[in-house]
Amino acid sequence: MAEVKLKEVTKKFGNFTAVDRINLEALDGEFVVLVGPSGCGKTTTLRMIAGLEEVTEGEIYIGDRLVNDVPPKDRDIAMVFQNYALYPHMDVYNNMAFGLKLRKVPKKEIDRRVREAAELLGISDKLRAKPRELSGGQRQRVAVGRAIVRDPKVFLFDEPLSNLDAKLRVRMRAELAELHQRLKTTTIYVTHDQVEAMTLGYRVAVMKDGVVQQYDAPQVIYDQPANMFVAGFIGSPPMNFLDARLVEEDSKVFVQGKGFKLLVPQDKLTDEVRSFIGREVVFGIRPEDLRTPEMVREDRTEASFPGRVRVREPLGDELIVYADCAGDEVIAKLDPHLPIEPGQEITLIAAMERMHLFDPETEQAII
Amino acid sequence: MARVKEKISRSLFIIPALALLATFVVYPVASTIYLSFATGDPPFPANYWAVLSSREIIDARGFVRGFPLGALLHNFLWMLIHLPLTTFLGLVLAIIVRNVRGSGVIKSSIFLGMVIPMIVGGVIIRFMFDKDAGVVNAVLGLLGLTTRSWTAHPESALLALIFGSVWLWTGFSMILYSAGLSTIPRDYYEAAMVDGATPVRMFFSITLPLLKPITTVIVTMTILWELKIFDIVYVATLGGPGGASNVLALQMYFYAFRQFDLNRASVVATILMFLTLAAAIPMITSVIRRERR
Repeated sequence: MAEVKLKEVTKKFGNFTAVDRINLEALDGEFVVLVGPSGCGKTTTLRMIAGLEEVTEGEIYIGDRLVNDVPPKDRDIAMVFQNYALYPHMDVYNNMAFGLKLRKVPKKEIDRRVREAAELLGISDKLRAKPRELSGGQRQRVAVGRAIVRDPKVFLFDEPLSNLDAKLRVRMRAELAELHQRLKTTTIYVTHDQVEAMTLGYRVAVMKDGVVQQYDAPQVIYDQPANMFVAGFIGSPPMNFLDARLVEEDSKVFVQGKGFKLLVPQDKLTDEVRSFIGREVVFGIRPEDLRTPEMVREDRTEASFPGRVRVREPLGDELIVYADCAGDEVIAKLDPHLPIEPGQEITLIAAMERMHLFDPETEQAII
Repeated sequence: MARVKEKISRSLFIIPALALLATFVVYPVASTIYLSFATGDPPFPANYWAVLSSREIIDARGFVRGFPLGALLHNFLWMLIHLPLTTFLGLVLAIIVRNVRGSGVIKSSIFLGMVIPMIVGGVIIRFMFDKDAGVVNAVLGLLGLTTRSWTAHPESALLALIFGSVWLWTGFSMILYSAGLSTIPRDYYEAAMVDGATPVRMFFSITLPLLKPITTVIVTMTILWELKIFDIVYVATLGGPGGASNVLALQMYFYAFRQFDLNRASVVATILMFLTLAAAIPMITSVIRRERR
C-alpha cells in the first residue's frame, strides 16, 4: 500500500508535449481515474508511473520513494494492459505465476496465491487453458489476476474494459469496484469512458492536451465543472452551451441569448458574476436540468424559453429531445411519456439553480 | 440434397487445377519412381543397391582419408553446419537490426544474397575463396593466416561452399525473423518488464516461444534448400575436386546427362524426393493444425 504523487510531471516526445506539468496525488488505498479524450496524455501519464515511459521533467513518488529512475520491476506496481498482454504460449496458471517465478517466490507460495486469485476471480476451472481458448471477460479476469497475485503497492489499469462488449463492460466494472473494496490497493485507472470514471473513481482527473483540467470527486466534477471542456465531457448527452449576455434590469440580472431571457437566481449573483454584467458569457445548462411545463407545477415563466422539436430519441426511461431555439441547438432530457413530436413547438424550463456560466474567452467557469 | 449438389459443383471447379497437377507433378513423379525401379534384371531394387553402394553417394573410404565422403553425406554435412548457423545468425541479426537507424539498408544488403540468382552466388563464392581475388583470403592475409584457393582443395572445397552459402541464405532467416519479431506486440515485453523479467529472460520466455512458427518455417525451408542444393556447387566447383564437394542433386544431373543412366538418376531423384517430403511434412501438418484452430 502506498500513495502515488506526481509533481510537475512533463513528458515530451520530440517537440510534442504529451503531458504538461501535471500534479496529481493518489492517497493510500484510493481509486483514482484519469479520463479524457484520446491523445490527452492519460495513458502516457500512467506509463510514466509504471516506468515504461521516461519522465522528461518533474518527479514521481510511490510511497516516499522518488521513482523517476527506478525500473518498472522495482517499483512494486502491477499493470493491466488494454489488450491484456497475456502471454499466448502460456496457460492461465503460468501467465499469473510468471511474475512470481521471476521474483523467486517459493513454488508452494506461488501455487497458493495463483489459486486464491483464480478463486476470487472465478477462473479456477480455467487454469490450464491458453488465452486463446478464453472469452474476452475471462481474459480480462486473468489479466487482473496476474496483477493481484503480485500483491503490489499500486495497481495501474490502462483502459482495461474497452475491448469488452457493452454488457460485459458493465459487469466487469462492478467487479473491479468490488475487488478494490476488498483489496484496498491504491489504484490508478485510465479510461476514455466517463461512466467508468464516474462510477469507479473516488477522485477523477479530467485531462485534455496533457493538462489536468480538474481533479475532484465525481459528483463535484459533475456539479461544478471547472471549465467548458469538463462540463461538456462529463455528462451524456453533453451540457448545452448557449452564447448569451448578462443584463441587469430593475436590479434583476438576466442571462439573455438569441431566443431566451432567463432570470439568474439571487444566490448565484456573486461578485464575480456581477462583474460580467453587460458582457458576453456562455450559458450552460445540462439536458437533465431542462423540463417542460407539464413536468413543473409552479409558474416558471422567468426560466422558460421556446423551441421547436427537431429530433426525438426515446430511450425508454427517458426521452432525448433535440430542439431548435432561435438557431441554437438545445438538447433536453425529458419525461418519456410526454407526447412530443418532431416539428412541434415546446416550452423548455431551465432549472436555474443549476445553471452554469462560463467566460467565453478563457472558457473557465464563472459559477 | 442441395448441399451434396453444391459440394459436387464446387469440386468441378478444382478439376482444371487437378488436371494440371496430374500432368506436371503427379505423372513425372510417378514415372520417375517407376524408372528408378525399372531395369533389365530383377530383383527390382537392384538400382537402389547399385546407387547406394556406389562411391558417389556414400564413400566409406572418406571416413579414413577425408573428403570426398559421398554426395549424400555431403548434403547431411551441409545441413549440420548451414542450418544452425543461418538460423541463429538470422535471429541475431534480426534482433540487432530491429532498433537500428537505417535498418532497411542493412537488411536489404544482407538480403541481397537471397535476391541474386544462385548461379551468380556460386560464381561469387568461387571468387570469394580465391587465393588472389577473394575477400576471404584478403581478411585471412591481414590476420597473418594461410591463404589459398579454398575451393580448389578437396579438404576445404565443401566447407568453403557451405560457409559461402551461409552468406547467401542468412538474409532469408533474418527477413522472416524480422517479420516475426514485428508481429510480437510491445505489450508482452512491457508486461514482462513490469513482471520483473530481464532482457535475457524476455528473450527465452517470450521472443523465442512466440517465434516458434517462424522457426518451423525457416528450418523446413532451409533443410529443403540444403537438400536440393545444386547451382552454386555446379558453378563454383562442379562437385570437385575429385567429388569432394559433390551433392545429391548434382550427382543426379551427372547420372542423367553425363552418363545418360536415367535409372540411376531416377533413384537419386526418388531418394531426394522422400528426404524433402520427410522434412516438409512436419511443417505442413503444423500449418494445417494452426489453421484448424
